[in-house]
Amino acid sequence: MSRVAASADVFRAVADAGRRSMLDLLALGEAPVSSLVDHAGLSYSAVSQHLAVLLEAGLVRRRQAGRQRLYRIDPRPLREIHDWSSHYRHFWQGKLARLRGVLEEGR
Amino acid sequence: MKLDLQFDEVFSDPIEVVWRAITDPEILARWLMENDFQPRVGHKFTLRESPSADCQGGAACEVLEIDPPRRMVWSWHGGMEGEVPTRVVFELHPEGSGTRLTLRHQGEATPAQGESVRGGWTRKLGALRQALTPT
Repeated sequence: MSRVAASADVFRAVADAGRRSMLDLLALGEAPVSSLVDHAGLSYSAVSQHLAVLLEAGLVRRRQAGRQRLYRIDPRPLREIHDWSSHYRHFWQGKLARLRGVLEEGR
Repeated sequence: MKLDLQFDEVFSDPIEVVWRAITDPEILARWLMENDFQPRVGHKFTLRESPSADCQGGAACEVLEIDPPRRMVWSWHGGMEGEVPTRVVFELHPEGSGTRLTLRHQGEATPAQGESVRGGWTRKLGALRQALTPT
């Protein structure tokens, strides 16, 4: 998967409040689907669909433990989103420092 | 995921001077980028780095709102295919004998935007720091 496609999935994955709520729970530790259903207040099928999106984006990993499937968070893809925001932050900080210089020269 | 950045800068210049610095194309070119900006709603303009700048970048913008000398809003499109425009809001308020500039950059993140900042803008920041260093 290309980087563009990968980050597209990450942005889409975290854009939904239900999925963010599920990630909040998984941030505390590994959990089965039943815990996610309880926590998110969603139907089993809605949680399953959200999990498919999160798995596809690489934000959640799954393992089989006996008869149960356990899900855990993988926060690494979130760094891409942070990068985007922090780059614009640096961009404007630099530009505004330059604006200050221009104004000071004009005095 | 939303982009929601806010910057507050207080300058000792009066509001008219700061307003001019953000709406005069020649002054904009000195601190932001080369441009064909005009201060009227609906005007579409391009921001681009000077040829000497060691970086890529730039944006296709449009004036969405302008209310001198208080408020100006641009749409901001970094030029990537499929990119959703973000918004840049400038607001000026008198503060003592000076002026407070609040700049916000807001929008929905898309993969194209993630890519656009990843490529050239890191190097741009190095060039910017050099330009700002007094010689």
